[in-house]
Amino acid sequence: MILFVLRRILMSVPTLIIVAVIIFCLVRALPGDAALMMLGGNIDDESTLEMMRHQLGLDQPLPVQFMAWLREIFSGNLGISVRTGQPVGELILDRFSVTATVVLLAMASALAVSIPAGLFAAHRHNTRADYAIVVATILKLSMPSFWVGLMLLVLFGAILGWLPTVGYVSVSQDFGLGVTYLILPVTSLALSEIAVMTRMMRAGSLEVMNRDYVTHARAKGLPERQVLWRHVFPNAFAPTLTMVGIALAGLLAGAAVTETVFTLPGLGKLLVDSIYGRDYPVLQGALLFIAAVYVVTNLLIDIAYSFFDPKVRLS
Amino acid sequence: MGNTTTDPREPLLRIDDLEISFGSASVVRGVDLSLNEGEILALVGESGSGKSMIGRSILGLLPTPGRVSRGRIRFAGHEITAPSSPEELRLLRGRSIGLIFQEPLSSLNPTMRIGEQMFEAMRLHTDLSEAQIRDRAIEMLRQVRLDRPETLLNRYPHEFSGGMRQRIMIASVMMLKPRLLIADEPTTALDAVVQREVLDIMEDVARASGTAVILISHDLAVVARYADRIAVMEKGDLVETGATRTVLARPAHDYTRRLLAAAQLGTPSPVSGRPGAALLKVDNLSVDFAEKTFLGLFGKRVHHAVRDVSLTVAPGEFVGLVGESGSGKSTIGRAVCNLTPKAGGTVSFDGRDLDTCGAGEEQRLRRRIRVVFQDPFSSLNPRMRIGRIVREGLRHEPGLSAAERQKAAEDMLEAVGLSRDMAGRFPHALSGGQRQRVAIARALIAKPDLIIADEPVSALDVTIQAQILALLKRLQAEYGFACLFISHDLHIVEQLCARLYVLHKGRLVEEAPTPAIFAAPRHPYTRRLMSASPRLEQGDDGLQLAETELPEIGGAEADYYDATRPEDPYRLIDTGQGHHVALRSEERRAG
Repeated sequence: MILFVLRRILMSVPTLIIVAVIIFCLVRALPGDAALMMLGGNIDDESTLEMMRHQLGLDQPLPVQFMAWLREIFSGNLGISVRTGQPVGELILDRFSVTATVVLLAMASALAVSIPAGLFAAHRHNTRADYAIVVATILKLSMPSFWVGLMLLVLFGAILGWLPTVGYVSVSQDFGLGVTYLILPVTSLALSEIAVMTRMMRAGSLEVMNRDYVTHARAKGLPERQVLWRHVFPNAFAPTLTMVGIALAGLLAGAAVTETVFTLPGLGKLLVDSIYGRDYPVLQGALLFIAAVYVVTNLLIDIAYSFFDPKVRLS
Repeated sequence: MGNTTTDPREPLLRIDDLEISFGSASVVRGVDLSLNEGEILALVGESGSGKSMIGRSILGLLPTPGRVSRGRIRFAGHEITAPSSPEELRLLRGRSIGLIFQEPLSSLNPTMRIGEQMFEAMRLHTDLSEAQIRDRAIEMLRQVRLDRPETLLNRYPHEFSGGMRQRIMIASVMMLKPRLLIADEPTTALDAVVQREVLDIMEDVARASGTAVILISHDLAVVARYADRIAVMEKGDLVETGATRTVLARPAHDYTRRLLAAAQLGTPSPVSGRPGAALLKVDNLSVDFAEKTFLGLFGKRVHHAVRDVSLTVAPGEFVGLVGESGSGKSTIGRAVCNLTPKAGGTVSFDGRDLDTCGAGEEQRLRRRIRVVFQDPFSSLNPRMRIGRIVREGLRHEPGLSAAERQKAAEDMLEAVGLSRDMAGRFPHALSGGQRQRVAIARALIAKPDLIIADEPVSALDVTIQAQILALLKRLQAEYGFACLFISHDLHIVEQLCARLYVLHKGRLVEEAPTPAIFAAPRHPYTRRLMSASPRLEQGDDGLQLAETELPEIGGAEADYYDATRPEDPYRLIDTGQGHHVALRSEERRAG
């Protein structure tokens, strides 16, 4: 197990280097001039511009720039934001903590709702309860998530005035206030995931429900609750777990739409801002960080698999 | 524990006028059955006869939307069909009525340890402590003859073979000492030797705890050995019940007679080849499977699936390749078709070595070899129509128009006993026997010289088995193909094959013309295979169960090569008339 994790982490190093090359090239391919941007956009003084470029290292050939960046990364230094002057690493972690709080809370609540709901729907297959759950998920799936977010804002923020609509306060600063800022974005994200995951869980359970070992569990006289949780759930969860992995990695990499709707200072927003500002160090750092998030999330999901399927040997 | 019957004359289980329906269609009609304490009843019928539904209804576990639409089931004072509460039924399940399923591969939960699966019902139904439950489980595993049971509890189902899983199943069900055990085709998925073992164990355990058994099966010959009484189902009706001996000797109903006839399979009529050079010649074939150990850091463990096997098939000859599962018989078939890489040896077809004759030549030769697989449910693409599946066998024949291909496919369907309009259907609309006919049609449409048939009838009901064998024989007479017939059942290969090769753990242990091997099997393994598949025979007083009496052989058992000890010296010696047998010592000769 430990060996497996170590090997996987080692294996991810070449992946990240390749990603770094791609990121570097893509960022340089962006139109626009970072030095010009920094100096406010309309400067005709060529020498000031030259000086700025030299200061940023932009006058060096690309390979040299890349190697310099890579060397910095390996020494743990992602550089300094061109726009704000903050260290990039700090900036990313700061923004990521916002995204991670929202996303992890949303995922946890989505799992807590959709697993029982999916199991229940499958258990009551073709009854009214099942139909109700299926119809509800289809309804949610057919609404765009930014629209649902906006409607939540309108209802609970503007009309009822129960919850704040703009801004963000970290729970570590003020817990009570922080929670009120989290409720709407978490609910909005969770609703989308619940819809997808409930359907996956229901489909997975329906397939398992007809297996001999489930009938056999009933034939042992086990109560229905035990049949569902001990025999159906572990076998039905694998497809949902795959989904969770993909969704989790995608959202941690920046729930850009949700962050924009709820004006959260998250990773997605950082990314968008640094693209507009040609903030190369932040952009490169954030993209590389996102790649690392994908690698780590996938590793965690692979480990989680081995708990649900003993046939999956970690090797 | 459990209620006792109030009336001593009341049987343990009584089924009156039972009707089971799915929607408006009834699958079981007017069935009356009763079972006494400790009695073993065999419930026999083809697939779809409703026998499994009766078993399920006794537990109140009919698959939806099935329901008992008439009649009643009484078990030890409980009204199963009209329980006072669902709880009453649930508490009977496991504790008083146990259930064992057909598929050992799917009836254990793959995500739970064996021990946990055995314990959970005990925890529910008894007040024993964890330690006591553990002891009982170990004791039970020992009773089903599993070695070192204490090491098994922490393992997962996929680590066991089918036979072992079914024994674990028996242990976990019988651990609660139920008064009634329903065994639904408990050994159909297993090969003959293992089947015999598992059923013997089940009978022992049931008799030891006085449990009554309903043994559901399609194979009369297999269950006849164990049953006190036999009940025969045909398409939802109970057509005959009676004591085993009486039903076998004097079957009253037509359908029973047909079932019995199928179980006898008839007189063997081996298909001998034409003289001349061998069509297929396999020399010293070896196939290895490598298994990486511990992350591949500490090398590989090599498993020798096939070791130094040589065999020949003459043109037009049926040759049997026999052995239990894991003996390497299917691997040989796959290696001949190049579906599995060889570790050594050569395969020649029609006098040409397939490895050295060049790619174009090899392809032309390989087109003359076709395969029929065991499982007709997975060997036909469910998204293709039957006509297209059969036509596909012709795709290497250039110069045929679409209409000609269509006609050839329909002709072929007719030749295998299906109607021409089947071509437009999808595989799911066909029964197992019909699908296997399609698979045969697909193989034969290109008029191959050799068919490799890998357990072509093992997945089918006995009555259908006989039909498919007869079909193969008829088609052989018409088309003249040779066949390498792979099977675990000696009695099936006896029907058609002129010569037999017996395999054990990748080694050839005996080779002989079929009549010779049946008259005087020499190798102990062959003898074990032979006694494992029971058949019905015509006796003085009607049909009776044949216990194969084997003639004594010369030489001690120790002289024969034992494949469970692979490091022993191995030598195949000729004992005359093409009868070869494997010995372990080089000097001594048996016989």
